[in-house]
Amino acid sequence: MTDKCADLPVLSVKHLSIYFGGRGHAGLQVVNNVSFEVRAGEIVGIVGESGSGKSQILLSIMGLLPDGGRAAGSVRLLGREILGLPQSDLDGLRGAAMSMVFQDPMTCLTPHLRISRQMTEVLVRHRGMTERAALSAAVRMLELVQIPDARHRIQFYPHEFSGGMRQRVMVATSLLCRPAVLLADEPTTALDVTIQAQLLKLFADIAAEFGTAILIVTHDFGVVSELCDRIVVLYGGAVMETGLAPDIISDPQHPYTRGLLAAMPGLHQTPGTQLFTIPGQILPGANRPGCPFCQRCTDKIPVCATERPVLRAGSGRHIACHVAGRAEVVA
Amino acid sequence: MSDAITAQLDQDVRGISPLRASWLRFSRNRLAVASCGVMALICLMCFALPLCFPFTGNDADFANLSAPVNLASIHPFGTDDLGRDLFLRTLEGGRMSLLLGFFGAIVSVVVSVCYGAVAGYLGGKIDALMMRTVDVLLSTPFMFLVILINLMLGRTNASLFLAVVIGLWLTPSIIARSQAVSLRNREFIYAARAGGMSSAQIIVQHVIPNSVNVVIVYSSLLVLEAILTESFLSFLGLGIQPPNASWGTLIAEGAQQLESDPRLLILPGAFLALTLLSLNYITDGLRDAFDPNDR
Amino acid sequence: MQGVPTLFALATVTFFIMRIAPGGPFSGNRQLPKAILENMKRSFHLDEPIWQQFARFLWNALQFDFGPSMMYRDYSVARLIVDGATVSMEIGLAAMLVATVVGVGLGTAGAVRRNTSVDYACGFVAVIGLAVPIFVIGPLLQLVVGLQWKLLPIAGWDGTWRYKVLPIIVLALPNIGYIARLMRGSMIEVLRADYIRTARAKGLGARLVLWRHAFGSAILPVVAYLGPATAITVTGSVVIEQVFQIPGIGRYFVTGAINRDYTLVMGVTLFYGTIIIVANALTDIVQALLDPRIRHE
Repeated sequence: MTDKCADLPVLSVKHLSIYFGGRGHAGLQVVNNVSFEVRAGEIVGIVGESGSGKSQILLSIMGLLPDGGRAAGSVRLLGREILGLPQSDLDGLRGAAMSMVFQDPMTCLTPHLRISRQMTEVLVRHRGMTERAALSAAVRMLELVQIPDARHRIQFYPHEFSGGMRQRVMVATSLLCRPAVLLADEPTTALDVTIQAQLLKLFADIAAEFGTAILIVTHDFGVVSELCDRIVVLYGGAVMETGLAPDIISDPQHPYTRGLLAAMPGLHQTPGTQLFTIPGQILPGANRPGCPFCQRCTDKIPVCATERPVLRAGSGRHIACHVAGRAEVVA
Repeated sequence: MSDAITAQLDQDVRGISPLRASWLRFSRNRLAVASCGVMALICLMCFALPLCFPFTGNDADFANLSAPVNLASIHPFGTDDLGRDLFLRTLEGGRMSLLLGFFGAIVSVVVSVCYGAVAGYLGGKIDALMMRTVDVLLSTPFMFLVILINLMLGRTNASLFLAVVIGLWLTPSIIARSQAVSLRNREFIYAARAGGMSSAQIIVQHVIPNSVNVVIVYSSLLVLEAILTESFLSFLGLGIQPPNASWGTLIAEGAQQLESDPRLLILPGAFLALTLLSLNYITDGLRDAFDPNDR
Repeated sequence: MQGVPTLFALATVTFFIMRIAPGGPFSGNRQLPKAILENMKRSFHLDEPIWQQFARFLWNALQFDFGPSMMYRDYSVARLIVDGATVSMEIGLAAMLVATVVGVGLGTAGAVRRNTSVDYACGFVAVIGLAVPIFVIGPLLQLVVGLQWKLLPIAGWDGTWRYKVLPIIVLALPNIGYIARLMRGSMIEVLRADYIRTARAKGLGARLVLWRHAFGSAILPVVAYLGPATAITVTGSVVIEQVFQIPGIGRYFVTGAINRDYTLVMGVTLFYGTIIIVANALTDIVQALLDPRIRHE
């Protein structure tokens, strides 16, 4: 990557909205006007509870929204608009320029095919390699993600691997074509804690070594704080707060971000005290008037229920809140 | 996405019992509802219409031998070479087929639920023995069982009925048994046992009533299979014996006289096919309505 | 190898039920003098104690010798089985092959183009095959193809393909219906699986995703169905043989049983038992070949 390229965002998402069912803007809106960018070698984390629409963002970038889902807005990959491209064009990009690692490694590998076939087919398809050349490239990639005895194990079937190993295989497969962007949907959630840590380090190494832009989706602030350069906090399909990871973690300003961080068990937790919980639960639909977090917010003021806060700049970040910005002014 | 649709559906059926929700789903399945209508019509025709004719299907009308199709005449679909009314014979044959089908299914349900309840509730060696018997019967060719029954009881309508039930009760009994096994460890069964009820009482009062609902969804499939089995055996001459007739025997007769008069085949064949088709769609509808995850 | 005790149980039960059942092989020939009847019974060892008869039957059966048929006295049972089974298996296996290819094709097409006219058309063909019994479809095809269009002979058998086409089609139809349904349901299920999404995320293209990643899993229920269904089709061949006047093994079995032809029924029963056991064993093997998880165990 040249310096010039490093300045340009590899992936740029602008005003992305996602709807399910219905026609036009009539259906259920799960993502509302989300924008962010990922640069080469950068790791961006999208954080939110389940139901916040964060997985749908990744799927819409890949063009893999399930039946009935529609995306509007703009997704640019290396400067090229890819939202709404026909599937046949997307197939040329998926697995090559962008690739994705899914949440549950136990169900994400085809059970009746050997790992070798599931890896080499990517290179055969995108790079036009022979089966033989692809196989040795695949073995090298497995070694890179630290699978011991890769030459032998590549001939295994998925069920012969443990969960952590399978996720490594998934990561290795997604890296085969050296994609510009790697999307990861809760890649560590289904794994043991020790395996999680190893895998997170692997992601950090990949971004540093290959300059791959990584967009990682998680509900776990622990993952974000360890790994990410920048954070997008999502609630009800809308961005609540976004900025550099250290800034937000050390000084969360949006009430929702503060809640999320307070709900995270930490070393500073006094044993026996109750963990903080955000009251209520997430409501489907991102197109109601007012702030999506309004019902559960402890700091709400009357305007929160009627007017949707816009994302605006404030103290080294962008924030969408009627209260968080103003409170400083009042104080 | 399915979550969104589920949410939508949940809103529609909120506050409705699961049973009513199932019926609501069933009533939205137009094909299944239409099939219910067709079935009702066929039953009405077979049971009520013959009463409107001044003669029976076995009466020969010597003035009208081999009469052609004439919807305005007293013989709307004509007569055979003996002057018997084809339409009436088909309806009367249908009466026999439908009766056998419904009763065969009912008896199969009763037998299978009782058998499965006893095996599943008692468990242990009795259960193993009973279910192994079912396995053996399932792996024996059906024709062979039929012929054995025919050898033991002769070629009578009773042995036909027995053959139909034997062919049908096996699969639902496995379903009923697994339901009984899951019931065995439920609190209300413990309560009944603690209250001093005997195993027989518990099976009759608790296990059987709670197993019926699981099997009942399969009942329309059982009716379908009973009618099919009956007509299949009758076609081979192992079923309904003359002078009685069913769709199966009529089709067998019709196949013999294919060249001289295809109506003899087409009329009962069409009724049988329409019945089986409707029952098939009803079965599908019931399964989708009661077991929506199955698809 | 587990089949041997099953076969033994089957043989034992059949043997004694045949003897217990009222009537005997020669009760139809009432006009025969008593002396001749006794003579005939002796020639079939029917005058011996029943345990001795059973032992003799078992010993001979091990050598595929069931003695002469009591009804077709000029033929040995082994000969009748070989002749009849060749015909029945040819028709039955060809029908299952046709049913598998067509059924899998229809089911896959229906699953891929779900809720389109293609799906409904496939579903309709499947339902017709399922709901209309072969003894209705068979005569109807005889009527249309044989009598009206005069394309193929309506019934009979001389070993040439012209006599085989209609029976194979008719026998295949219900299986097409069932396999198409099975395949559609299982393919829809598989296409929703996470690993299909992974395969699509690799940019493999719709065709490769379908045939390489989805098909191998979606076909498994069909394979599990094929073994028992083939056994049922071959052992239940009597209807098709009746409709098309085919000299298969099913008709020997039925007429033999009705006429208390002890030797013939015993021979065919054991043959049927073997077919079922072999079909199930083959199913297990093929399943293990297709599914590495089963092979692993």
